[in-house]
Amino acid sequence: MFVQTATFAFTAGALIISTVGFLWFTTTGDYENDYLYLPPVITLLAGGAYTVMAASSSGVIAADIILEARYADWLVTTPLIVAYLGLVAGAGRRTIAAAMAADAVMIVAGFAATTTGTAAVRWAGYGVSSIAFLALVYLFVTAFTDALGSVSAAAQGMFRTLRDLTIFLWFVYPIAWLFGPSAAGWISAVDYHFIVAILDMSAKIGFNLIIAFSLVRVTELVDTTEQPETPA
Amino acid sequence: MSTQDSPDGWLANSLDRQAGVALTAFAALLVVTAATRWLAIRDTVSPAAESAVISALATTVVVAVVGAALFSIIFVRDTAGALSYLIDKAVKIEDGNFDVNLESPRDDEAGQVYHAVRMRDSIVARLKEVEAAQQEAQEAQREAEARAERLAEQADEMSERFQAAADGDLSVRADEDINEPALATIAASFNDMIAEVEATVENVRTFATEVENASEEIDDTAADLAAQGDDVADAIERIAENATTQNDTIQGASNELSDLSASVEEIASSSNEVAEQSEAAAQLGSDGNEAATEAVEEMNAIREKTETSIEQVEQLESEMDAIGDIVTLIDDIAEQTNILALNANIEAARAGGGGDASEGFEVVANEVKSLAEETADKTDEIERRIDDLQTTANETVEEMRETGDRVDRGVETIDESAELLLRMVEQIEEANSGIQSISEATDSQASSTEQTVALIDEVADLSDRSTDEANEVVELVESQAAELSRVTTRIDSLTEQATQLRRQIDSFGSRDGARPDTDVMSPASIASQSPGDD
Repeated sequence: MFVQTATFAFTAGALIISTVGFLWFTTTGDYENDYLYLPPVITLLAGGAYTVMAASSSGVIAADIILEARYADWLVTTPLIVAYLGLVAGAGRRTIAAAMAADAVMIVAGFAATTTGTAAVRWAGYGVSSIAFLALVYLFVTAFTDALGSVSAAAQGMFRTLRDLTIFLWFVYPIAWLFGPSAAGWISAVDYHFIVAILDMSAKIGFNLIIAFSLVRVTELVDTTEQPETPA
Repeated sequence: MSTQDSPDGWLANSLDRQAGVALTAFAALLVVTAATRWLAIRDTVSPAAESAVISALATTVVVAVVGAALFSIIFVRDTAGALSYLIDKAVKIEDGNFDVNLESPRDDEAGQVYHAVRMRDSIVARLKEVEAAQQEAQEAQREAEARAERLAEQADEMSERFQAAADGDLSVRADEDINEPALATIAASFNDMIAEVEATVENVRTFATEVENASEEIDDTAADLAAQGDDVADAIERIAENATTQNDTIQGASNELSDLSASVEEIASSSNEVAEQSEAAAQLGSDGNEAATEAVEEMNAIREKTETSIEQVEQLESEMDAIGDIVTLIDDIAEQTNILALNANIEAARAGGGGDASEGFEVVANEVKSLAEETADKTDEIERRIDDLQTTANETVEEMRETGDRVDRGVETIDESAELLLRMVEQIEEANSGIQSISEATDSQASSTEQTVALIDEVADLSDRSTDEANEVVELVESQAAELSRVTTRIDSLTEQATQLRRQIDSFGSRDGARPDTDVMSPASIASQSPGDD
């Protein structure tokens, strides 16, 4: 279990370092952005969850609550990611609320599929979770993207990059799940935890990095006076 | 980002798609590598190790693909986006839309590319404009030079003819058959102009004569006008004087009306007092009427009492009569007693002289005789007194009857007085209402008088103003008269000038080529003043 504990601990450390780094970056850089508090909150929560998972894996905490900690983390942090994307795109409140609800359904159904002992519940949960995910992707590429007209070109570019990163990485989770111990069993539990840790780090730390790069390039993301072109 | 139909185009014109293909190829390569490496060692590992190795290889492939995808999304996608944005702008510029905004918020390489494109674009456009302008200018210069030479020759010739015309020969005409259109136009215009000048000079001659005649007439008229103006001034001065007098008169009338207003107000207050006094008199009259009525009542009571008294006195009289009867009876008795005493005395004397009895008898008879005599005296006195009483009672009754008659007459008189008082009260009331209406009338008269005074004050103001205005008019008429005399002077000089003008035109139209010897009226200015041009 050493490899598994080390993976969780490393991931927790990376997430917490990312949190501190992002906070340092935004507070010293004097960047104008209304929602910069959300990304560090997301990485901090994930870092806390991975700390609990490392403790559980190493036996510091007696109970095996790795899965519970992971899904609890996802139930909070993934809707926050969805919310941040909606706010950057300038989507309406109802659209954002619908997307967050689909996201919560996806996580809860995934937890049911992962922890159940019966095959029927497992595949039903997997199906519901997949459908909720597809609905979420649909909202990302339609309603969220259509709302983009009201924000600056720089913010539009950042939104597209964040959206594509999120969609691609979130597609890998259900595929890995199929290969993993809950389904096909081709990938062992340790390796599955490793893949999920890599995906979590990529999705959350990558998220912070993309925002930081965008800020470095243009310094202001939300200022709508900077729209570079209006149709002639 | 334009999409083309052929697969080559689809791939060739998008960095995104190229990165996707590269990523897929990388993933395939990883899978193939992992698979072949696994097949190479498969026979040498135990079944327990087998699944561990598969898991490790699958994990490695997944993680490698995720890493490659991250790189592709974060860098390739961003670069491709920036470039396609720039391409959009470039296409618009190519289509001639130079207003495209080439500002970019980016500071990195993509931003620098935007900046470079913007510089070049404007310089090229400027250079082309400058070259085209230069060429145009050179051609225009050559053409202008050739034309100028041609024009100079023809202009010389035309200038000679113009000179002739300027010297007064209005019959001269320029040659219109020149192949230089501008000069031909000038020649034609000149010919038109000269023809018009000729006609105009003729018109002006006629006009000058007319002016001469007209101005002489005006001169006469102006003199008349001046005389009339003086008359008008005199008349207005008189009006002004009259207005002043009128003003004074109105002022006097206003003052008198003010006095009248005051006296009317006094009358109004006096009539109010009279009205109060007549009301008091009416009150007094009605009080007197009431008093008279009371007096009549008292009188009636007195008459009744008097009648009662008369009855009582008459009753007293009849009772006195009864007393008289009694007294007569007593008197008779006294007489008979006296007679009886005489008889007794006689008897005593016959009975005997001297004895005592006859003497006593004689004494008694004497005593009875004296008593009878005394009674007769007393009854006489009573009778006398009853007579007196009866006389007095009769007189009293008489007087009482008289008093009753007087009371009757008094009642009649008081009735008449009461009636008179009533009538007086009615008349006083009538008089009172008359005085009231007089008072009201006087009040309204007073207010009317006040209004009239105000009106007359206004009229006085008006007449003041008209006096001022009349004075102003006098001044105006005087200045008008002065103006008119100036006009007369001007017209005299105009007449003189018209005569001079006609003389000059006579010499000008003679066509002997002689220039008029004065510059007062040049042909051009005559033409511009011609009535034919209006």
